[in-house]
Amino acid sequence: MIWPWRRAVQALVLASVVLFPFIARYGHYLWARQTEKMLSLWEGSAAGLILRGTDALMRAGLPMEESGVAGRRPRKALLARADNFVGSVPWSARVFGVSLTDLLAASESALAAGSLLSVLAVGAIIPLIATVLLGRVYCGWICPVGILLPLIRRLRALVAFLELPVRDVRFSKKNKYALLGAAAAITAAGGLPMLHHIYPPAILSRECHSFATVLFDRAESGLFGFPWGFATGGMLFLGLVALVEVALAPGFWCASLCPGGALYSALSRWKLLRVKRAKSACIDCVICDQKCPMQLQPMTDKTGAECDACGVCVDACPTRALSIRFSRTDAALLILFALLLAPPARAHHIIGIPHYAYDKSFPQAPVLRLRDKIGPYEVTLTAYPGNPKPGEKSEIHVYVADPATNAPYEKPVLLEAHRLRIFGFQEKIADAGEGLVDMGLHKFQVFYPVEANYEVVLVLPGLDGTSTLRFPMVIGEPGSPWRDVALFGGGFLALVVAVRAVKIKRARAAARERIA
Amino acid sequence: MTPAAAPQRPAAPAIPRPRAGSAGLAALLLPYALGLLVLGLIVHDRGRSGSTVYVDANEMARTATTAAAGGGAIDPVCGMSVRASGADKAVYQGRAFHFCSAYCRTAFLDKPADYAQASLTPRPSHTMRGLPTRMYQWALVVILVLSFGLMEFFAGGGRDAGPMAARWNLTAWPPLRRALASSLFPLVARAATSLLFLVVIAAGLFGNQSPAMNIAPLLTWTVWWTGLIFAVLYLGKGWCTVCPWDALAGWAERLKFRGPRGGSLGLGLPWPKSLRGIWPASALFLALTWVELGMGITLIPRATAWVALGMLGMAVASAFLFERKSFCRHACLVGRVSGLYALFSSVEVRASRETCSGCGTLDCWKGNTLGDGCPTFEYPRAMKLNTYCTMCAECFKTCPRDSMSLNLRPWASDLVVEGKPRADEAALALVLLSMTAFHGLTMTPAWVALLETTRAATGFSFTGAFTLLMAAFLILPALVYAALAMVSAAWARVERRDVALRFAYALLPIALFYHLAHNAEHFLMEGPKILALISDPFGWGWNLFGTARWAVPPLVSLEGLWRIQVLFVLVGHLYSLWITARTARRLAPECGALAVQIPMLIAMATFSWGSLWLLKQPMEMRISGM
Repeated sequence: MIWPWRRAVQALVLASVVLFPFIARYGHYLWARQTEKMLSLWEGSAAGLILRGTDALMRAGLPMEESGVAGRRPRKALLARADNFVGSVPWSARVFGVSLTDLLAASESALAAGSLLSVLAVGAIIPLIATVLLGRVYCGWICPVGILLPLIRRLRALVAFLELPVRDVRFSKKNKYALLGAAAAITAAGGLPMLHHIYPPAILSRECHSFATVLFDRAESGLFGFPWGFATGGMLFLGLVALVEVALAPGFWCASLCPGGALYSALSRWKLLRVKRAKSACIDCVICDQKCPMQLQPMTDKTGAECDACGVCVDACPTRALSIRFSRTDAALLILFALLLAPPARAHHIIGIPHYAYDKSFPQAPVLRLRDKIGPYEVTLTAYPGNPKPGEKSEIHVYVADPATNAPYEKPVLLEAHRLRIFGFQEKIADAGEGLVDMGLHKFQVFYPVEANYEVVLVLPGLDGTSTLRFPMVIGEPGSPWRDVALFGGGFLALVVAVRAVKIKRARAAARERIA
Repeated sequence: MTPAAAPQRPAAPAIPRPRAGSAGLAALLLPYALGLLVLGLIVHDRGRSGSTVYVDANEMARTATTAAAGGGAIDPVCGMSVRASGADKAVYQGRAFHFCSAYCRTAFLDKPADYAQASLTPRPSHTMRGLPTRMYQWALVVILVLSFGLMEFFAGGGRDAGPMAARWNLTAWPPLRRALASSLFPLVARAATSLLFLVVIAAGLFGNQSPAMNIAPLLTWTVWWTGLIFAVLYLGKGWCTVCPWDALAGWAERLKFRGPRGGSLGLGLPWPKSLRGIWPASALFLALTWVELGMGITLIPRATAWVALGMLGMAVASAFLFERKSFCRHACLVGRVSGLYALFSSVEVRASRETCSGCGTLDCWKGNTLGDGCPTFEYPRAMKLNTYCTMCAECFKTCPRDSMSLNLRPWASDLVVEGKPRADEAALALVLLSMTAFHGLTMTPAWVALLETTRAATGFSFTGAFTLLMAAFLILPALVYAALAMVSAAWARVERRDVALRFAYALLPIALFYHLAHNAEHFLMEGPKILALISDPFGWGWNLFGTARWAVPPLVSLEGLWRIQVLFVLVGHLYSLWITARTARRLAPECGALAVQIPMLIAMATFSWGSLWLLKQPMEMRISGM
């Protein structure tokens, strides 16, 4: 039974992919001595929950130090621990202090730069040796996409239940080499690495980082709504791959298109770990050929460099004729032992390393400037900051002047603010009031309580004709029209699919009845 | 060279002639005469007055800016923004003042000192003056005289339809018949309306959310909804013919644009028994009125788009689940409201009884390769009323014997013939009457007072108080009507249910024409702004057709509008009286007819009086509510 071990390893890697970005952020707050503050500020929110969970995990086995009023965190020990888990797993990371660099990333960046940085070379040692020795073991045992795609492929049953067409198209396995070669040529010529845009484990890991960044950055700004940070082009690409896997060509990505797989296959020509078949026991039942996720034929020993040692065929064989073994056990064991002895190399990892330790970000607060005309006057409304955090004070300065004479408007200017709620309800959050007047500039302060759409209304009672001006204010990121479109489109699609499935099932039942 | 022989041209098809006596001809032409009269009033009025209402705050700001140059001015009496070149003008203490109407001018000349002072601090008011008291009183007198003084005049005719039987078969003209039978007939128009519909949804969702700068609210609530009711008068269910919801749902379900169904995606389930009749449509109409007024969605572009998408969603879901066009028949509020009103309309689609009597194939019901069987479950051969016919012309395509015809007919033809009264239709008629009036009421200052009183008395929130008042307004007219119907039934010794159901149809013209009178105000006063919005539908600063900066004045002055409104109320009342008289004759023998009629006349006069009273109130304009 190989599969439980393999799934366990893959699940562990997947969990690390999700966890590492949080650990990096945790290390960041720890470095800046902000952990306590964030934990108390974010009580009850998703960000707080995640930070607390990460803290508990990292502190496992380390008691709080006895000092001061409350127990203090063993900061140095925790920092050292956090520093052992950085980067983007699966293997462009520092795991338990061991630096790893993805071979595809290393070779791409070497090709783009025309030279191989020593830090990359150091990190690439372990993956390189592992691949040469064990073959595409990365694909079969480590790559997090390797566990996600089979899970997603389970949807094929649902798709078939919904009577939608499921196809089983097979592409040539040589496609991935062509893709790798083309990308290598372009990268060498143009000096721009590009495969990370379509290399699924890299995308997944990167999106996890960006999700964590968005989640915590928003939390730092007091926004605890759902972060849409993961809805990016990379995720769209992964979704597309998943869609093709489900509807059109199961297993096509790993077998036929993955540039990482191409590289590992190319490197594992002389690998020692292979699927062995006991000819005497084999009964030519073809089950292994049918089950092979890489679309190989173990029954006729056609596995070769494409095999990722997943062991599915071994588990499936009814006569136990198949096994995974080292062809030169002595050599393999020797090399593996040497690897264990090698001192952990350290490579530089950008993602996750705190560059500065500071209490607060100081980018220039965005300023919103709106202009309008009222009567003969020009109105300039300046909001500082322009998109303030809920609950934070926003300064609104209003300048009303006659453009012909440049003379400011002398009469009073009143300001009201309303929250715009669903279906046109308005809730007044700031009463009409006169602000401070300073050299013709009217200054107001507004507090927007929550993330929402607001409207700031200026009233100039001393003016002929129209005397009110309305300015929209958006605080945070309230709903988007695309959401409405997506809801309607999704509902429509679901209806069509469901109706179609019911119709086909009915027709089939009727046909069965006719025959019976 | 000899000139080529003139090609043999077929004789030009003869234009069909109406089948009617002279009284019938008059009845046929009356709708058009009335239409011309209204147009004449508008045209005449445009030459006379130049008053204008700027309905958008930005536009008003622009007016104020150009006021110095003589472009616009503020009416010192009512505070409306008016054009300075208008005829209603007065000079006081060397200053020129401009007015929306002669009434404001008279009021100004009474106490010029007060108003001149007021105009120094103008109020941006958007309230339009209601009917002047004298006009209101005269109209009331006319209604009372018509109702109770001249009722015997309407009673003639007995069971015979008389001049109402006049018909003008337009499809006797072959080109029109060919056009209706062509598979392109509703398709092209439906493509256009669907495109427009999608643009409106896009504008509502993505456009500028300021209602005055987005085309969605104005086009939907002022132009379309009003235009729909106007269209019913002359085109019957013309909206349903070009309806984009049904068009998009149908195309999605059939996966093709032309020709009859076949191989379509839908399940074709029967419509659930518990939802039969038009009760679902009435419920939707109430729900829409509730969100429209209670939530103010007419002023929110995005909510307007939600409503449009909601209707589309229901149409699509029904198309995929149920057979034919069940949604149109049972649940579409627009179709059912216009369907009831279409009983009044001046067009109809009918089959020829002689041709159909020999038919054994029933293509119009079953459908064939040329078209579908009647999508709204009508049996064209026996169809007597307009209500459920969407004029989709499928029967023109399917009938191999050319039995179907499109006829012009006098107004209210369906209401004077003997139909089978149905409880669901009668209920919708009452709902229409009370809800259109309620709609008008919410735009008057009286409403604000009423709402505040209710809130103070009950302690409810805005929504709670609103819902309570809406329910009251729904129930009270129904109670008044039911009480009078009971009196009527008791006097004449006929079935109560018969009286209540049959006379409900007689209320339709009052509801329809009040609806028109109320919406004429929106349509004629605010509607022209659509010209500017067409150039910038999303409010993104476009100027597609060069009209984005146009400040189009209203189509009529206030005086002109009042005349049109009073005319509408009187015409509606007149038709209601006539239908009442004929219904009474049918319901009770000669001696009992009067007894049946009098309580019903009281109801009619009460409702028309209510209409006039509402029109007398000043009205808040829609887009200017911002």
